[in-house]
Amino acid sequence: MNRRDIELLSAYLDGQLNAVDSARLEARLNTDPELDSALRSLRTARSVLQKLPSRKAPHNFTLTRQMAGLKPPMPRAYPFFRLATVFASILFLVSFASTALSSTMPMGAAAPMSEFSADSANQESADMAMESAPMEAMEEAPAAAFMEDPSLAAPAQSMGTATPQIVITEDGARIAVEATSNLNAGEAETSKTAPSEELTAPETAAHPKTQKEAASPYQWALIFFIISLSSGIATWAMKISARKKWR
Amino acid sequence: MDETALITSAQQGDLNAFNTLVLHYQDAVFNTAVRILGDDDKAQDASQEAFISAFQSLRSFRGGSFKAWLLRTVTNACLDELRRKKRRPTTPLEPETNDGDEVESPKWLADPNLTPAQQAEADELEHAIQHCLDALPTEFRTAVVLADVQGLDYSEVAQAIRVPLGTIKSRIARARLKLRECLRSFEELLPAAFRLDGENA
Repeated sequence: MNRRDIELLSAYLDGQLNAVDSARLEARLNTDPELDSALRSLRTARSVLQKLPSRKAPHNFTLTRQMAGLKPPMPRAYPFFRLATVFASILFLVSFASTALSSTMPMGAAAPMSEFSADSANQESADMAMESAPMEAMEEAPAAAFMEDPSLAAPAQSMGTATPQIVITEDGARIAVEATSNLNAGEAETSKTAPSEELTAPETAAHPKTQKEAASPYQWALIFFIISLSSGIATWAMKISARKKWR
Repeated sequence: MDETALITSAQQGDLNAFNTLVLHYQDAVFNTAVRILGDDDKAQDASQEAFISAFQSLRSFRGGSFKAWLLRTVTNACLDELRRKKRRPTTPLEPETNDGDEVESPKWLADPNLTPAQQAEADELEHAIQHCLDALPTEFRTAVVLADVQGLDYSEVAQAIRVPLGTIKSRIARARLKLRECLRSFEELLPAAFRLDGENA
């Protein structure tokens, strides 16, 4: 008796053999006592298992919603508010971070900027003064245009009726203003006051602009924070109310 | 109970419909788990896990025997538990001699008889059979429990364990043979009908 015979006997017990195989096995069982004994052993084992008392479940295995992983049905607006909360939070963080960074950066960067603006303001005012100064003064004090050349400066001093305290500076416009003030006080007044007004004007104009620029990012951060907070509260309230209804 | 309608409702997320199915099949599921694992507590855990898994994967059920499909789920849960148990083996007791050497095979510790507690359990036929079932290799035990304890036919067992029909036939036959050999030591516990039917008929 081999393994194949055991499988045949087991299948025969379960009625899994076709008619031909069953008839062939039955013929062998009649002549082979060992095979017959094996069949009875298998039948005993099968019967014992089939008669084994069935164990009842000690408690119900019914599932709760939590166990089943079910979630309460949310209102239609819920995903919108949740998305709004996420986006507003991200935008708030970005705007806040950028504002914080830009507020720390100008400590080093503002100085060159202000110098540049002061220089450019001076240059502009000087240009204006140059334009407003009368041509006669320029003719009487031609040295102003050639101050850097000492050979030309001496004749200029002798030629000029006006004897301003000419200081050789890089700022040619300033010299022109001083020359003009000696020649014509009225005109000089205008030429002197004009640049000072021009100088103050850009400063006063620049300050509100920078204040605006500094304030607007914080305003956006505040707006995003408010949106984020309100939509977050709305999302939370929807969730709580949906859970309460579900219960 | 209209099983098909309940299954369809449960597939659409109706938990009440699924729980009706649970109440109907929970004894079969728990019984299978107990016979495969041989431990009530672990069988409860495996049964609960099987029902949760069944609900979550109910959409994959494409008809056929729902009982066989459900028993496949609990069989998988039991096999997972057995694998976990295998990964965490118990440390054997290795006593030392007077010289401090480890005694690898302490014969004086080996008790050929069952402990008093085990003996008391084995006095009952059910425990004797469970003892023999536990001694079977897992794949044999699973096949024979589904076929003989739960009464599934060969094709349903093949569906539940996902192995070819020929393999199922072989496993069931060999499991019964091994079981019979084991039960010989508990001959006096077997009812007379079984003894007569089995050996002397």
